[in-house]
Amino acid sequence: MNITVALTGNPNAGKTSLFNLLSGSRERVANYPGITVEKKIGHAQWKDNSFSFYDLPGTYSLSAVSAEEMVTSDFLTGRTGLTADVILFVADSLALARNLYLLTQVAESGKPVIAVLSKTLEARANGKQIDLQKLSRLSGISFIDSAGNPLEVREQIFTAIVNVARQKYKQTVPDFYSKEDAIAIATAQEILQAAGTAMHPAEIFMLLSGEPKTKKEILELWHNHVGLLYPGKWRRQRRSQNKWHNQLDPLNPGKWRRQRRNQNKWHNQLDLLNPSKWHRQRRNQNKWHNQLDPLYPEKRKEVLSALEKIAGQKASQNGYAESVRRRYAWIDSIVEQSVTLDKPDKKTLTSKMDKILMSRIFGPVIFLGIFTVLFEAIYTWSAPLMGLIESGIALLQQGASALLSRLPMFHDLVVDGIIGGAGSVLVFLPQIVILFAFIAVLEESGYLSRASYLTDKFVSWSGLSGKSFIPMLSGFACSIPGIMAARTIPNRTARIATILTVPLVSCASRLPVYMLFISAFIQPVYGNAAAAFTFLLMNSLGALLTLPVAWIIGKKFLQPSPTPFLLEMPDYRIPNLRSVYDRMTEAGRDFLKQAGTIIFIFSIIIWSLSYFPRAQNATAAAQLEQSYLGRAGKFVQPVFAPMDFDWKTTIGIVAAFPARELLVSTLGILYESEATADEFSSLSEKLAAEKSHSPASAMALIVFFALSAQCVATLVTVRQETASLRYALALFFYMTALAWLLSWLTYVTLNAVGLG
Amino acid sequence: MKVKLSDMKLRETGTIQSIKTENLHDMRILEMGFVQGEKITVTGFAPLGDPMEVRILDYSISLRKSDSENILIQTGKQA
Repeated sequence: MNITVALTGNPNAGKTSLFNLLSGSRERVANYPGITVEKKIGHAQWKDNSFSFYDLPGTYSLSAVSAEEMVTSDFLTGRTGLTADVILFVADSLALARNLYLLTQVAESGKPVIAVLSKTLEARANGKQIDLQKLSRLSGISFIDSAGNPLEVREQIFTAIVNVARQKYKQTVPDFYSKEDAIAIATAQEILQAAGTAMHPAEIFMLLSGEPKTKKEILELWHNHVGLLYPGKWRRQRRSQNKWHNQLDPLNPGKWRRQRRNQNKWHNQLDLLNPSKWHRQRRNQNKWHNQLDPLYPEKRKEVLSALEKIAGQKASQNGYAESVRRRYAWIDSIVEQSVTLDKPDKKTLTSKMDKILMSRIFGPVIFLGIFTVLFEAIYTWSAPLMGLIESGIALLQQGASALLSRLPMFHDLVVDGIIGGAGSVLVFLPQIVILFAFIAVLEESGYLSRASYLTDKFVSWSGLSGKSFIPMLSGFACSIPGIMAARTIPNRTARIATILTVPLVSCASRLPVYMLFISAFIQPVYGNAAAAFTFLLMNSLGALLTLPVAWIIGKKFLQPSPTPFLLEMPDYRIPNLRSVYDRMTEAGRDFLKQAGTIIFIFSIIIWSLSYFPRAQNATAAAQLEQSYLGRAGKFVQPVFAPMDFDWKTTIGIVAAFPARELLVSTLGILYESEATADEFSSLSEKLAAEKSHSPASAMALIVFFALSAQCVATLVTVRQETASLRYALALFFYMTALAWLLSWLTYVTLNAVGLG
Repeated sequence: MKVKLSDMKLRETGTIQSIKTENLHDMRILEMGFVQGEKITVTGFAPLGDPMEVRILDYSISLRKSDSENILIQTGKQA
């Protein structure tokens, strides 16, 4: 028997560990278009049954407040053509009542539900005894304890799943709506069915009973969501899927796997439709295809007008609050009867620890200590590893260089283009992996929520929350891990605003540029103190701008997300090594697979632009000057003329588009000095001697480099993490414009006050 | 005595009276268990006095002043 199981539960309820326990082979699946939900599918065999586990994103309620949360109700209603046979609900026993709230909604969908109680050992340590039999009997849902021998637990869960899948029973829960509301919901369901879609009763009831503002928000959410249900690109997708169908031998699933690996793109599309059951899957796909009306804009309109019709109806006065109260009343009575507390007022370990860790004096001190270590780790500990990667790349380049010395063009392509390009990707890996190890430990231990709690007030005015703190801080080492760390922010608006502002923070690769120009133009004229001050100022300039810019972006350009800042403060616990390891490898793999390939391609393109066209017998400087890249640099020179940048500098600016620090080596070539990023005293002397910049112009250049988006890897990562090219382009244009503007202001101001 | 949750002091206890439910944001807070009749205790404040940490339904959660202002609590001995 093939059984599809969906794992749901509150965020941090312990879904991931259960998923790991149950599924042998695992795969990660592409995001839904436009939203950034990580979706994992696991597979397992048990006796004669094969299971597919879908790990759905954690949520507190099925009345979604964001596109990300709608994924769960999509699955429960089957409105995307994809649904589960059995729902496996993970209930955190440390916050049992609140977890049961979602369970009442999940059970309402009528699908068979099995609940697994997580963190029961911790609950017991807190003096809380949960009577599973009573809980199951009173709620009508079977509960399984996750504590105990993992193999036995696994056996128990599989047995339960197979049993309920065989019985095909309809899960029932008490009715939490008044009679007239229940009728209104049923009517709405009919309207939706006629329009070819479905909603969960809780969703419908929110739409029926909400205040006008709530209704408007839900309709807006759906406005975007129907795009997912009826994607405009469906024709193209279907064509490519059919192509893929024909290539697959439907009778040879073994070959299928191998082919699948080769065709990642189709693979991802197919996985949305359940990979383990090929025949049924294909049937499902056809069903799904048929659901896609060729006239999809009409289909969308139909769904939306059905929703509007429902929104036009009214439920009983105060209906939603009343239904929530009824659910909790039911839950409270069950919890009261099935949970016993040893000592009702026993101080838990967590509350004891919080006495110190969250105290007004020690709290911030410990916080600063932890984050100094974190920052040191990504900044300093990664250095030897990055050095190792760099020297490995250099070694490879030497080897290739020796091998290919007879083929000059091929030599340059392989050595500078390919190996150099791969190096520019790999070098970020240590920082990403170290940062994610820290985040995983902090999150699992329960401290991350507390860190957000401590810092929230400092950033809340800008529309961000305390959760943006780690991404911002990581930005000082490198924007890329910082952008990836924004995954921990559940509010979409805050997450995008964070992603778009982290790159302003002065990262490590800006340092060589600051140092070169400060030592060439500022230090000789104004002395050491001014040089040190400038250095410090440039390092903090971007960070100071992040919050105001985030405020503007959030207020003017993004739709406010209704996800409230509700921070659960989980009990402290010892991090699970397995999940820390998983988080590290996932982040590293994501980066290499998704961003890495594009960065690599970009490096080769940029390399070719500097290599072609070839000049006869030219010096390196002359070659670069007349290459496409050089021509582009000269072409944009007028744009930078107001700040008095000459063409050599603007070639440097263009050449530094892939990565800022390339400015140094490009100028090194153009000034025909032997400068490298580490050793540029001769270059800085040359620059100073040629007086290519006045101090004001040099400052303007430094400011430009402090704020501009000169980093392909950053742009690509933004594209990957937001699943939208739009944000990457927005980032590039706003940062470049901001950089130019402040650069020009710096130039004008310095000249006006006579420091030019 | 009825007070706003935001005006409550550390370790003060009460039961929830009502909560504003104008938009999705408010509805979500309601669904987290801030329903009429539930017991609530203030367990902490962040260094700048906001957000605050409360205990409700046997779990801890922090919320901002802008949200806690909308929650009315019945405290002390009832008259």
